[in-house]
Amino acid sequence: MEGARIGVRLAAGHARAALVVGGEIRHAACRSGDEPELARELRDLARGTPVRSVTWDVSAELDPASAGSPVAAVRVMPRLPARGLGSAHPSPLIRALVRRQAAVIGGHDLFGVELATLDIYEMLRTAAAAQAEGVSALALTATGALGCPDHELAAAEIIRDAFPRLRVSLSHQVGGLGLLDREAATVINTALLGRAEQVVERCVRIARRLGASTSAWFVAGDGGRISAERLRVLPVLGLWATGAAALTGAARLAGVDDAVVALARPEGLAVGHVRDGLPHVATDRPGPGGVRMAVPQASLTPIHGSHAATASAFALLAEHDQHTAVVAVAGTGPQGDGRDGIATDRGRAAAARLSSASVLVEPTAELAAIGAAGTEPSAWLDTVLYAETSEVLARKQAAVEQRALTLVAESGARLGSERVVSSRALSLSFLRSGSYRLVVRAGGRAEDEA
Amino acid sequence: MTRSRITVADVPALLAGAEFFSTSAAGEGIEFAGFWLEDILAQTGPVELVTADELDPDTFCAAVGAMGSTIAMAELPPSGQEPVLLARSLAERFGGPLGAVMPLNAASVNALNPVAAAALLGLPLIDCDGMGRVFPLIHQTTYELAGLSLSPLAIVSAGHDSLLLDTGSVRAEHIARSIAQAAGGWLLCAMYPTRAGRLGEAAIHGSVSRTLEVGRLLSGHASAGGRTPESAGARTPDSAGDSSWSGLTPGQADGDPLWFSPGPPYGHPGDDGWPWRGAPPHERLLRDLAKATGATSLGGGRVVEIGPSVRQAGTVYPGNPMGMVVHDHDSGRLIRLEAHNELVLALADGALTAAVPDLLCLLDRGTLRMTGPERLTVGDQVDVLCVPAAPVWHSGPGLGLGGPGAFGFPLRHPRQESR
Repeated sequence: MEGARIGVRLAAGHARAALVVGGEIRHAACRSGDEPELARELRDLARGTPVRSVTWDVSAELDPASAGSPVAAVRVMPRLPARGLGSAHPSPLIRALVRRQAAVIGGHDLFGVELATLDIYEMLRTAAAAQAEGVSALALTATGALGCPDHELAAAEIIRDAFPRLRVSLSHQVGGLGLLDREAATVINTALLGRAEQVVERCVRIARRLGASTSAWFVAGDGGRISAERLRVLPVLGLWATGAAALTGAARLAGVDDAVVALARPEGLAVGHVRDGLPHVATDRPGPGGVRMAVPQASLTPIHGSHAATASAFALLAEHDQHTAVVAVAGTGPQGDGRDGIATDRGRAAAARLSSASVLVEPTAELAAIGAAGTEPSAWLDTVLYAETSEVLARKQAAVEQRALTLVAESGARLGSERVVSSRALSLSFLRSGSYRLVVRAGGRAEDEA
Repeated sequence: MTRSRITVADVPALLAGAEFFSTSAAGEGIEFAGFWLEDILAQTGPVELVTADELDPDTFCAAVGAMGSTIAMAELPPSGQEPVLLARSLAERFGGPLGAVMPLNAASVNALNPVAAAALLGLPLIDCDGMGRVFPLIHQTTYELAGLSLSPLAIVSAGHDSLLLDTGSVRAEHIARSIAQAAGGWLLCAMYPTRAGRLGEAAIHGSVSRTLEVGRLLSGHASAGGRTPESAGARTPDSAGDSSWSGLTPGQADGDPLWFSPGPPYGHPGDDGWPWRGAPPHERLLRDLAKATGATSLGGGRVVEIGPSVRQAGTVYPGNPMGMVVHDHDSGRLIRLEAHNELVLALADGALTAAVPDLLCLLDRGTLRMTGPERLTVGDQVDVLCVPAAPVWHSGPGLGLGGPGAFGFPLRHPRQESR
């Protein structure tokens, strides 16, 4: 089916858009606050070509420091901390977002064994106190929730029954091992629920103006794309998506699936990797405000300095990498395109130091917007399991992979295109033999792919 | 005599040193414990760090450390009440209170747990440990080699299940390990109850200080930016007489790149990245680590293989064997590393080059932090280091308890081969 895909990055009151149709790329830029104007710009960009999808990078709109609302953070643990030790998160951002911190007895171990009965009465008292203080959303983090989410689900149910106006985010839906990191992600997620609702609604409305069959998607921090429904519930997944989108765009324009990529920006290079068409991600990188959040985000290493110096540094990295080296200009020009003079000079200097097998990409539109247009459905699961034998491990691993593939399908993958990108079973140190951490990444081709 | 103190400001260095001495596989994901310890020290004030001979020889002391999984502990953090329960348990048994805490091992999360215990109990911490590294079993200690009794072993779980176990060392390990699995994945333990006067030959002295020193070195490199770690306030070994730093900064300000780590390895949320000037910074760090610890580099380059080991898991040890291969850029050799909870052996082109009880560590060239199989993927760049164990571990009994044979490898330690 003929049609175009549009990617849009929203930031600082502006929208930078790229339309990709066949081998052609067009760009547009306008103020993002004027909805009719933005819709008109996108229609003009299409020039009558049916637009199959608009994929939005809204990470700049979801800055928790400016757009987050106060929340109540509730931990569920088998024992309450003595003297409140370890209750408060060390990050100033999280402390600023958490108006009320509480702990309630309950929780499971990593493998889903209940450690203490959930104290539902204390949970209700905590929710009542939070609502009385004017808090409208509650971040719930139960220990062991990835092994068994029952206490989080039970708590959410009784809170919704008793306090229907309170919104609740559950840590097992956010994902990630480690209570502190997962709680931080859940707090940020909860704080952004209101803002995400507004942003998603607006983006969906604008996409609908382009045609009844135009779908709206959102770039995730891992470089995949997620649905409007998923971003409404899990806005934390949409953070820090710009770097991931730019990596995706660079690899696509270079025509490679595996690459070491230098994004040339005015202030320096940012180096990342693309594997099988998806950005290399990590869960231990600091996110907004330096907070580690246990959710995957594209791994980018900044290198600052003069053009010559950053070129030398990247040449050294590229020399030791087995994949194609790609240098991509990732600046934004005065017209909202990719033609930033300083970034272009830096990119050309870096490319000049590389072998002839490398690729220099000078996009005609903003790279992150091009990448957004080209994002594909993806999913990431990080969990713990126990398997006595390799056969049991293989069976359980396959079940988790199937869950990941289902998530990919729900993100608009074309039937049959879903694939497991990577699946690693890592032995857990100092637990009984057969204890594994399983990290699965899956992807697929979008239904609207031209 | 001026006694040392461990304060909130020391925690990032303690954490960095703890990762270094964790032999890579065991130190992953322990940052949560740093935040927790900072919170404790902020409430209790500093912990006094003393040498064993500064204490009255009759001072009642016990080794404190966690057994089990650090990931389980990160998921289910301590409440802060656990050391009190352990101390109460031992006091009831021995008819008197603890007078000091000593570390089971000053590495990985167990470099922090004894400090937390000492802070919460208001006791001094003895500057020593019983491993000088991480071993998987709680009886693989110099305390054991010296004939101290591991039991009675006091244990407490995150759910505050507690037990005082009277049995032999090996059975204590087996029973406690089973309880750890059933009680949430980890236990805090107090063991080797003894008197300070008996620690002379039984402990590795200065272990806590060494962990802090190496941690300051690592943190200094991470935060030094274009400066040397000394000018950034870090202490380095023989820094006063080390002229090799002098060539690093002049003339580099305009031309050389600033390297940034992608995340704060030993800092705090909100910290900026760390700029580096000059040649690849891992080489400078390796040089300083060699001075501080006697470490040698076995090679460095790209990880070309990682996954489950082909060998069978022993029934004694928790966890599963893993293997990884690093392609040494300079020599072209393939360095195979065998891991079982921590890194156990290194073979270069099939020849044994390093083994337990010596420490094998991996330095991530990109982030300048210690790393391990769980964090690594094929393609990552690492350096492989070997740090000599405390001399007592190279004795016959030491190699018997902590050498390759104890891990199921029918191999002689390289030092035995050279005898």
